[in-house]
Amino acid sequence: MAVAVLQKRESRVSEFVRKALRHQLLMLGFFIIVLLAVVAVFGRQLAPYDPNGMDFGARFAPPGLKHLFGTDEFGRDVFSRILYGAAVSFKVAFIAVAISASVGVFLGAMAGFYGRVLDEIIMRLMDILFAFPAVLMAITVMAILGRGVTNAMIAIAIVYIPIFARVARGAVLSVRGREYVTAARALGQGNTTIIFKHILPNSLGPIIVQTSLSLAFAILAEAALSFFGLGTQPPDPSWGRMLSEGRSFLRQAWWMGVFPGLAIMVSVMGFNFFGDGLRDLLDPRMKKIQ
Amino acid sequence: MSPSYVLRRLGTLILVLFGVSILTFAIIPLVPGSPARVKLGISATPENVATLEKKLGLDRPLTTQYFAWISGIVTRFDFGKSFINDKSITSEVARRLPATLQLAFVALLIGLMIALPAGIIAALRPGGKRDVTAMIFSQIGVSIPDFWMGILLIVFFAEYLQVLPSSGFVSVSEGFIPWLRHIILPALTSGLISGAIMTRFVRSAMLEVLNQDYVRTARAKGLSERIVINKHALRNAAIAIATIVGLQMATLLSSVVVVEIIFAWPGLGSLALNSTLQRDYPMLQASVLLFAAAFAVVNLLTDLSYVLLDPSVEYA
Amino acid sequence: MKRILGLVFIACLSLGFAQTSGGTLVAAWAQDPVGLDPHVTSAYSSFQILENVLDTLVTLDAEQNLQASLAESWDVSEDGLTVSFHLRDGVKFSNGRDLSADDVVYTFNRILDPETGSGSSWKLGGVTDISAADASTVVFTLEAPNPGLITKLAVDKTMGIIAKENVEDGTINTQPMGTGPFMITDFQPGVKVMLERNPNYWQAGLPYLDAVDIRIISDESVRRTALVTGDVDWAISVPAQSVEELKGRDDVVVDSTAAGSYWYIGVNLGRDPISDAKVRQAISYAINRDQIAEAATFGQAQATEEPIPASSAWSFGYAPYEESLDKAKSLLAEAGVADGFELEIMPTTQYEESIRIAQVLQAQLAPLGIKASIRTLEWAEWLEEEGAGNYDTYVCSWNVLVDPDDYYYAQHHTGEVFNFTGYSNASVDELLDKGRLTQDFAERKAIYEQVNKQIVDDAPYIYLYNPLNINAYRLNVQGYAARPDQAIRFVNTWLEN
Repeated sequence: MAVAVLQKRESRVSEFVRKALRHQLLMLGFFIIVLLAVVAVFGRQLAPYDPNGMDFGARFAPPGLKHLFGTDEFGRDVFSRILYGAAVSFKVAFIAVAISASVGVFLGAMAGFYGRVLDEIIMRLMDILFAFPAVLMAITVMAILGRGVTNAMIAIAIVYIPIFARVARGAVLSVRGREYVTAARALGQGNTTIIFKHILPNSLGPIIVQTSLSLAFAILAEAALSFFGLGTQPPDPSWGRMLSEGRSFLRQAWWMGVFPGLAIMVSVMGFNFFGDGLRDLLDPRMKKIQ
Repeated sequence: MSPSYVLRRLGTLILVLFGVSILTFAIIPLVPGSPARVKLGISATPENVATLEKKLGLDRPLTTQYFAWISGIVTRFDFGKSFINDKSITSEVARRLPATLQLAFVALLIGLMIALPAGIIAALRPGGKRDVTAMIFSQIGVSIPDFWMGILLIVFFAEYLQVLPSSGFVSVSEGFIPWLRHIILPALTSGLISGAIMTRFVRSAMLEVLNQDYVRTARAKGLSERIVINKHALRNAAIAIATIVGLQMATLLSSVVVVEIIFAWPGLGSLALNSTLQRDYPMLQASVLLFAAAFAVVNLLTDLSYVLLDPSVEYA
Repeated sequence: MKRILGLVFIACLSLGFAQTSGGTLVAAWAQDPVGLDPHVTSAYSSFQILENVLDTLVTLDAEQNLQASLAESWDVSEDGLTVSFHLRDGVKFSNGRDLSADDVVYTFNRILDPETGSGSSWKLGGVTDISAADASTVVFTLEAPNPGLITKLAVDKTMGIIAKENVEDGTINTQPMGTGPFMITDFQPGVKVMLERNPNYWQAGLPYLDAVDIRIISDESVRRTALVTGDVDWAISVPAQSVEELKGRDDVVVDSTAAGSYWYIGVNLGRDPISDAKVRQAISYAINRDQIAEAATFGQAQATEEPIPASSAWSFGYAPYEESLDKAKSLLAEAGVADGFELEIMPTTQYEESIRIAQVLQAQLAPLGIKASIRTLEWAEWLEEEGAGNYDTYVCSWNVLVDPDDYYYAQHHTGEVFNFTGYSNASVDELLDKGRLTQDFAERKAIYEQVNKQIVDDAPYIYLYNPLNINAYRLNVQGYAARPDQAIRFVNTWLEN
């Protein structure tokens, strides 16, 4: 449905693409994301070593030609582990945000569209969820569900649901009174059609921006969960886990923490650049400034 | 601001807190592992565990436990006793909350000291050298996980320069300087990150205001840049900035857990985490409730501050 | 030259004529004490604090020999069925009240009372009555002779003597009161414990310190930094990987000693195919214990195939499993699992060490065709799963072991609560029971040698290494020594100016 709507606005889309191509920050972010996506998909093939392969003869080897980013306390190749870990970090970030965005947007749209009692109930529930300290919420959810990547995604998703609900509700409220909605209603279209055909496509801007920024935060959230020993099960690497473990080897082997740290930093920046760029293009108020 | 608006907001706040209390009470027992088992450890027999669980009242129905607990809080402001160490929870959280609030406030202060000048300077000439520099630093700050930032600060300031203590807390009553020395590193950890986040918001708030007609008019009138910024732009950006500050304070409150753990800071966050690991249910419930309360109060104050900053905002 | 003079000077100090009284020792702990009631808690972080607060009837010296403490002497009747302890005169609780035999009787009856829910009551198994013969004599009546009982009263502070009023006013778990060198004046869970000098302590002139300020610093790298910067004087442990680096510093002492402790793989004997001893032996042949010890502790441990460390008089030196992949493979073939199988290893986040062990094990078992997966659990959940037998193999350690009975009985005797593997062997049971009743050292050692051989061969536990107990402190901390039983005693400690 959304595709059909977008096709109708083809001229708008091509204009958007033209603008996007000129926006350096957006393009830089886009480039980083594409690069990381490639690594996440082909990381295993690209890795020079088995990421979990131990080599006791080569523990704590500093970065060099043989091991680009050095080795860890088991003699595992840090570079290979980072390539491999990209898939984990990406999976966690994308799926967590996908879950929270779809649930959050649905709830927010319902609240914004129907208003009154439903709005009150949904948004108070979101307030309750939001008031729960995020880190504790994630830890508790993981304690109930058990460790592992999948549960980390769910934990992070639950934390972000209220944010998406708020953003979506705000966006829906801002277009609910527009002429085309009133017109559609006058034409006798059902609520579902109105929400999906008219309201959501027109309030996508803030939601897309929020999605991109949430991806950045989800990568940081995975790192925070790893700090508490949650997240991937050893020996599988994730950037957060490697960074967290690297902190107590800072003196012996700085490379164990610094490279995963850089990987996190670059990808977070990529999503932020992309999100900021989108905001510049999609937020009508910002258009004036640019 | 009508009193009825404030009352309504307070009512909602209490409702939300009740919701939080029910939610915590309902989900915490789902966590595998019993407090009795943690307390008695590896050498406990199943009978020992059962005896202790009974003593802790864990054999009662969940609803009975909830009403006993909530009525204690409502009628006597009594949060009960810790399952693990028998300490009065009310006095424990009363000691921990100030430490967390101090940390969050100082971090916010540091954040503002970075974000206000950096954001304003960046906004004056968008795309200029200063803007780009500020945005690069802001991006770096946003993308560093807090525990990593904390460790790096400890290594640099405590171990390498040896100018600040590596961890721990000293209360203000023991002297302002020792207190300050201990709070700087943890507050800097959170403060640098929130400063980075706020810089971006301050910049865009300023940009928006600087493009308004009255600022253009003021400039056209030949008023000095300083007067334009101080008298016109800043005042009008104040609401947007207040929103950011409120949001950031709320975020800081919930993100201090990691920083408190790293710096052995005796706040509510480390208490809550420790209680989670030890399955000290009532202690965890109390700390979550207090976090939620602090969070809700900050949100309320933010909304109310709009009225003070801009009389044209009216709440019915 | 300067350095040598310094050493001589320090040597003079430790001869004991230059101790300086006073001062506060700032000590870094790693874990929060899990309550302070000595009879209820089982956390070592609690006992290590109580070590300085409570006394026991008898105690262990640094060489793990039995010494008098609150009991000046004790005698065992001819038939071995009654043990009488004669209490020291002039001992006071830190509140100034005299210690009497009634307090001792009260203490032990409290431990035995099921209502207390003490996880340590098993140590008093076979004790039928405890009573005061007079104001300074306490008599234990036993079902059967039990020479090992007295040592059990000495190990850690589970058998610490407390005062009735301390229980009645409800402060036993927050502020236990004892007759030890220090008293607890402030306990902030998760933050700190303040110990102050007990003015009524029975050993004249001790302790030297005015106070011990115990701070809980859970992050190991931060704890290390706090020590090297002098924010704390003493640290309970430092990251194993920084031990070598700390040894190279001239302002920090790394004090280590072989601990009465071992790390092992516990095998669930109720699950196939590991229920077959051949499969367990195959694992034992396949693993490289030196690598495990090195990777898990960075050299701060001694690989072993049996539980008792080589430094102990009870060490047997039995090591049948010479690393051999071929031998392991043929054993697996004999057991009918030549192609390997899936195996779960369960370490806990409580001990980072156990997770490192699990990772090395996983890598070492792969060539055998054993596909090991790792399930890391938080401590609370780990305890539940272990207790319920929901595991294939787990990785853990036993600590504070002194008598050979401590190494085998509770773990491997049929039906014991800590026999989590489900091991049962009638001849081992018989030997273990006999060992408890035997007095003569040589005769006992011969009994336990048989037990050791049988258990190492049957491999319900696959032993990995004996760790070192490592404390680290600033150079000015004097009169402290790391102990094999991991007890932390500051009674003779002082701070050099």
